Amino acid sequence: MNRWQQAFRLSKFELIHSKKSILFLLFLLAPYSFFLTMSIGSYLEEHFMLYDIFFLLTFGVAAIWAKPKEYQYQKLSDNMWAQPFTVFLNQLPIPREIVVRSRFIIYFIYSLPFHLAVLVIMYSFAPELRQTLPPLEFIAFSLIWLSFGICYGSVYPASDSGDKVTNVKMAFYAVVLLGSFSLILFAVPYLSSYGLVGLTIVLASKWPIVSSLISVIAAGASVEFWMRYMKKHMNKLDYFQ
Amino acid sequence: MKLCTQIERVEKTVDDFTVGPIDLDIELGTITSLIGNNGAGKSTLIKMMMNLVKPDNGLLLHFGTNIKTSEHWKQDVAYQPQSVLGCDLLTGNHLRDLMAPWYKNWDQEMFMNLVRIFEIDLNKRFGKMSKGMQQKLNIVLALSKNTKLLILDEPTANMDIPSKQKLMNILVGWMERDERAIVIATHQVDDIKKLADYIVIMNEGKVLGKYEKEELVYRYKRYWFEDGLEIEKIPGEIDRLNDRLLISNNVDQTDTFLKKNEIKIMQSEVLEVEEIITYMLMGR
Repeated sequence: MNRWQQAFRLSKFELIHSKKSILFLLFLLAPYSFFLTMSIGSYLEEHFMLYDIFFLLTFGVAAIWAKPKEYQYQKLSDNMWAQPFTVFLNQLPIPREIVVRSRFIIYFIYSLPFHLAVLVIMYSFAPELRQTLPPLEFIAFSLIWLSFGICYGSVYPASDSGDKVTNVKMAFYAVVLLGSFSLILFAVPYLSSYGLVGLTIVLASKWPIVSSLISVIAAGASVEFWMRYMKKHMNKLDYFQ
Repeated sequence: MKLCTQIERVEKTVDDFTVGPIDLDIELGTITSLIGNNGAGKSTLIKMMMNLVKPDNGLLLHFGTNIKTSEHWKQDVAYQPQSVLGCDLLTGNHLRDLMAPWYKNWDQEMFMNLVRIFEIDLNKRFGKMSKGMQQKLNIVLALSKNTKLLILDEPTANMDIPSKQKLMNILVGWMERDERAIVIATHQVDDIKKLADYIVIMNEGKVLGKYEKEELVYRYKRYWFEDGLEIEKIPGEIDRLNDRLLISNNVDQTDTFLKKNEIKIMQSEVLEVEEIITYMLMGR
């Protein structure tokens, strides 16, 4: 059995309890997709920021909200935050690489079908989007956003290994996260006269192959980086729980 | 005797509390009890032995392998923590299916046998089990891994009396099956009395000493005297009550002194293990 297969087998122990959560994600899919599909026409005419924010939330954080609370990143002691099941696996003779891969598999099983479904629903029910993006360009647009979901979302499985989080550190992370999102949301329209989603539509239309390639490479590099980070981090961290 | 674990100058500082430096060897064929007050550093030492807490200094070897640089030793070490995280939604069957493939010597027959002995419902979710039942399942899983070293952190704290008794017998039987070792951190005197070959006393992060249980029992003695003692301090004396009762931690010295000074002993007896440990933890 290769390492990805072993990791998948391991992830099943968590996924068997995630059926309800995945159903809940499908339930979430309706309002998300409805808003994104119904608003795309007006968004393409006048790039309103709320749409960009909604898109970022959909591809950034929506997928992990649905996880069962037992499997969520949580406070284990005074300063220690981690995903408890990952801490448990760390005590067994399972190679760290397999534990790490299993965390990424779980995240992708939550996020990728959800993200893909949002994109397919949008394309199927929004004629304005079909007029703007022919199929090849839409595939490029989808790859950009799926890759964004992977790039940004890889932080979640990587953080499952745990961290010592003080209030100051937590506040710092929040400021950096909100600050960088705000910067992107304001800077893109200022510099390009498009909204964030609008800019990715333009990139996908003008350079579908190049934008797809860059997105996929960025996603692969991000996964590789965060998997290595997680493995190293588990080697350094103290698990008192 | 073959060594299974070598702990050399291992040290860990957390906030303002330092565990160590600790030097300790664990031999195959022995059961070692880690004893100490709450917060003495026993669990931290055990977690360092599992590489869950990383020492700041020192070297920790299992079966000659530095646990920092390799993960292979985990095959030979089973660990039962005080509390298990992240398994609340898993049943006993799930936990067995999860663990068994990773241990090359997993003993399925023993697992089923122990499940029967402890009457564990394998279809019940771990989080829905009582604390005692969770502990029983944990110990059954740990034993079935069939490793050379078993590390137990308070294994009987929540168990009912009959189960404790069963576990004692099972652990003794488990030791006899092969050349193995058990390290057990416990506050339960019965565990120590019935199981331990060696007692390691820890206090405020330091190892005060490693003693053979039998040797320890004969090191301390209680004396009753016919007449009140008039001598201020007797060699080996660590406690005195009403000048007629004296406790010594150096029986040879005390006996010699009493004989030389013709002090009449009414009665003498060895101390119970818990009394000895209490005195040792008080630094006497």
